[in-house]
Amino acid sequence: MCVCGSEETAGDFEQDELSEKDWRVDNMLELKDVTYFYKSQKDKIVLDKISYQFEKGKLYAILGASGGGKTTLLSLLAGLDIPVEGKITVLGKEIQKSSLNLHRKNNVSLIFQNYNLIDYLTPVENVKLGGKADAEELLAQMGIDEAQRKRNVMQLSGGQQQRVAIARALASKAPILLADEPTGNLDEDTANEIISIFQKLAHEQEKCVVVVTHSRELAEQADVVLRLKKGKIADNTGIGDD
Amino acid sequence: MNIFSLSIRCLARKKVRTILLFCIVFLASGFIYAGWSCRSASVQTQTEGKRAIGASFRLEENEANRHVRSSEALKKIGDNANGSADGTHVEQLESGDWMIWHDNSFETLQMDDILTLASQDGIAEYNITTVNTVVNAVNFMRIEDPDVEQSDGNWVSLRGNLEMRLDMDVQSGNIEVREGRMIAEDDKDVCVISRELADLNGLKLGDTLGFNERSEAETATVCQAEIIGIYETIYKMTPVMYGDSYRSENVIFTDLRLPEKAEGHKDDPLYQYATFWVENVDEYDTIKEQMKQADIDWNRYDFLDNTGMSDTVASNFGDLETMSTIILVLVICSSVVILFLVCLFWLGSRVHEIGVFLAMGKRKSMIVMQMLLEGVLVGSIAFLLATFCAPAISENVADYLVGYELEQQETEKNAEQGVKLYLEDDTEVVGVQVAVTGEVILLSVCSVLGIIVAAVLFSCVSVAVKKPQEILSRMS
Repeated sequence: MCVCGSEETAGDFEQDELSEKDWRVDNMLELKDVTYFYKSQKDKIVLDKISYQFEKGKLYAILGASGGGKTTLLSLLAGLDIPVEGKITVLGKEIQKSSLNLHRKNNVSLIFQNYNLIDYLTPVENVKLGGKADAEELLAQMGIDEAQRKRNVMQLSGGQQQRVAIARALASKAPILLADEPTGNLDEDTANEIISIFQKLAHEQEKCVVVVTHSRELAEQADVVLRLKKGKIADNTGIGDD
Repeated sequence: MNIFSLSIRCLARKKVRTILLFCIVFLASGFIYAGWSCRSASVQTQTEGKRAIGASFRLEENEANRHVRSSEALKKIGDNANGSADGTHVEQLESGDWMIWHDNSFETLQMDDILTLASQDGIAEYNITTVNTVVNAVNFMRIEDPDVEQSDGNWVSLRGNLEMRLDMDVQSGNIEVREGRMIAEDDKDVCVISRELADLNGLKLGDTLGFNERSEAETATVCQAEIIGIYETIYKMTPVMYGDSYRSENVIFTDLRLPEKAEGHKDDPLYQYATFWVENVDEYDTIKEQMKQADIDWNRYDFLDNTGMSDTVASNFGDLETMSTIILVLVICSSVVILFLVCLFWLGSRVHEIGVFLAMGKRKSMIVMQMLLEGVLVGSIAFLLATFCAPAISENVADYLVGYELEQQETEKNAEQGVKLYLEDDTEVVGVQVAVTGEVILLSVCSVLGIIVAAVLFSCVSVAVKKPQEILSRMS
């Protein structure tokens, strides 16, 4: 049994970027009997044989108590870690069997609560890190004006930084967008704007958007709400239970 | 955005960090340059009484190298053992004390090396002079100072020359042969004596003098030489040691191979100097450089030019080479440690950035490459600047090292005062030449690059062994 194995799995073969044909498949991302526990606490199961299928064009909100395994689940989906048991597939291809680097590069984009922008770069340069898309246009779509685009990214407000982070995630053109508490550090108005952006990305650009959150507002706007409790997953759980 | 663009932006926008790295690499490069340069430094010394004449060069034994060879020979013989190696002999006396001595083959200039130098283009003629060899005078009396109580025997000095007219004292006009002739290369078993010695003993041209080994004067085979010339002393020749055996009037000039026979060491000559005269004085410096390229064991010799200066390589000047090596090792080790700590600190403040890159699917190797590239870029600029400053830094370090070495030698000399009986020439350091050659630059480039690569790679181990999730956890 593989116990919280190393980052790379056997082989380092190229995993092709998803083709347009792949995009048409609804079932984008799938968890199959995924189990996870920490090496140091083997008796404490974080994720217990979870199976679930994430579809394109939907906004998913994952709720759960602190320490309930939400971020761990997101890390597994992002290929930052690998499950102890079970497998994760993207369009039927098991990510552990190919390069996790390529999975992170081509299949998923990550957005963090604390934005995680590179502090010595401008917004444009940060977006260019994400991919070859037109950084200026993406930033304009996110409402970052021309003057702001040329400043150091740390001189922007929290909301603006999160928009830059989303623009960077979009630059990679990955079909799956994973966000960890993306509105956690933002005021209510800005948070609503970000939620709106996520909805548009899911519904207009057909992306599969998975958001880990404590935010009731965000959960209310999601197409599917998943709740993690005692390592198990349940969908369409009442939001008020959290 | 490629790693080069990222590195440039990081260096340009994280100024404090960049300046810190720059300063460390600059200082390290400067001292590394100095270390490598000093290892091949040339110390110009001028020794009283060792002034060459005219457009000539003089080859002599190097004292420091003599010690090195002696130590190596003793190692071959082994501790507390009788034996011989490479002209060095060790013998335990009945008293239990150990006696170490060197035969002529150990001390002499090598004839092959002399001939190699003599055959260089631009050399008109050359002379070989033996050491002043003290032997017993069999059939004549030496000149003695009546005020000094004589403790030795009836001993005189023999000085062999390939061509007597080229002898130092003849060339400098200290003596003149006014009766008979001087000794030439083809002469055998001949001598030229002083007017004083001839008068004292009633000797004339054509007479034969007898010499033998001084320690066994009664029994040793007598070697005979015919007087072919008598010299007048214009200025007394400087004695090489105290005592009447060495006084100017008791110096007898002979053909090159007579002294070794007279002291009972046939076919084991002891050549002390070889002097080479250039054909065209205008080409003196060119010929000097050309001769220095000759394929002989230069470590064994000092090579004096017409200013009386000798270029002594660092390995032959006290512990200069050793001290340079120590500086080099210390600078390299401390630079690796300091740069490693700086990089580690640097990396600690970049966990956030590394986590982001990993989350975006960048390979760890590319992240390490970026760190390395940043180090190399800053290092290149620092090294370039250090290259401009290298001659000045190297000269100062070399001056300091030579000064320190001279201080040590002075201390040793004071401690030995009164122990030595012979007259020691006073050697003065007149300059230190430190050249930042292509080889020094290449060695320094390799050293600095090695330091940067080692420091960055060691510090990146902490990143390489961590899972992306662990790095991202440290970010939050």
